[in-house]
Amino acid sequence: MDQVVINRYLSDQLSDAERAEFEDRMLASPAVIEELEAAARLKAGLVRLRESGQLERIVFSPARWPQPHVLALAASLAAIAIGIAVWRSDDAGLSTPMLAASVVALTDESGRQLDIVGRHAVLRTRAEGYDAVIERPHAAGALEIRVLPDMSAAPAGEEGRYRVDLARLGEDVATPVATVAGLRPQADGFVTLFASSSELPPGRYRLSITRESEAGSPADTDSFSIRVR
Amino acid sequence: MSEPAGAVSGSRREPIDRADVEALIVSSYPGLRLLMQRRAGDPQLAADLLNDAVCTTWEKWQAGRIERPEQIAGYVFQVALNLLRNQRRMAGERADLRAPVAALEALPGGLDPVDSSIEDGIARSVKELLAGMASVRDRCVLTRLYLDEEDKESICSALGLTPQQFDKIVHRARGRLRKLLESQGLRSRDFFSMLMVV
Repeated sequence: MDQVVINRYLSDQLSDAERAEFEDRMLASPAVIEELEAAARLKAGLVRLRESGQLERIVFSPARWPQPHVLALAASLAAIAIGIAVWRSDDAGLSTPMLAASVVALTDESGRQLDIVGRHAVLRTRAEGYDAVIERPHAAGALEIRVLPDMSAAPAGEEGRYRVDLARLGEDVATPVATVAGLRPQADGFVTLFASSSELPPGRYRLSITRESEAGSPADTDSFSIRVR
Repeated sequence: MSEPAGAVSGSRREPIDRADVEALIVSSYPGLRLLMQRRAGDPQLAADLLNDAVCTTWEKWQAGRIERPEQIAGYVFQVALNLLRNQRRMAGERADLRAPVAALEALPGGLDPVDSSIEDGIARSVKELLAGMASVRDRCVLTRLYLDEEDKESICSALGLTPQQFDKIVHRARGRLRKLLESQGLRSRDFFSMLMVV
């Protein structure tokens, strides 16, 4: 049974037709209700861990490797996997992502997750010039960028997703350089994304944040002017 | 001549008491029960909805509209989740009760000591599961899917995964969790075996 469908059922995200089909399967097969129960326990456990303040520490702690030989094997496999990933990226004309929704997606050449080396807020300012100036640190790493959309249709904390597009500004033209989608706002209304400092050259940029809308609805977009130096 | 309660044409049905169904739902499906409490934002409301669902299901069983005892749990949760959905829709229509889903689920659980202890036990299993996962990325897949309820496409995009990699991570995690829970004696399958010997 597809875990995504099970999760969507528990989250009440299925359409009426999908739900009816799922429930038919659930009633026909007791194994499905066991799958539901397992998924529900996983959700309950995660909620509990988050409430107790343990979740982030557990999720972002280094992996526990039971034996050195397992570590060696894993390292070999990881090297192969990274090699394949790099080869595939090169093949597609892409390098390490410039922007990502999660810091875990940003890795160095050896596949190690980048450390966060700077934090920046991007929000509408009354000052003329740039809405934010990002100083690239000496050491390569991840930059946490928190963007505050000011579109009236998207109050802080509202359910919804955002897409961020970054374009580098030249004399007469804006060149799109990166996009990241599926971003969720935090309770304070900020939308967080991460940039690889080594992939973000100095220059002037336009950061556009768009609320991902239902099909057919007009999209709300805010644009900010950024200087990277 | 009408059939006796709990009977079905051509075969004799196990006599099942409504209280037994309720007790077994409570003992064998803590995950779904706790989830209902979270979603309802009120343990008492969740208990009432679950009780209504047990009653409805038991009446269906008595009327011979449920073929096999092992289908009872599915019916209970189908009805309970539908009642909860209706409840939330009604609340959503009232401005004074309107609140985003996330806010409802962020309400303090207010669980009784028994449920709180059950949830702690489940949390320990999930903690063990996460700690045993190979990478931060894999753990993030689980939290984004099951906790943040993001869709697969969005998670793959954010974490740089192919759909196949995503499926593999979730499948592996699910298998490990099942083993962990079973090692602690938490098995929903017990429900069916217990019903059969009632």
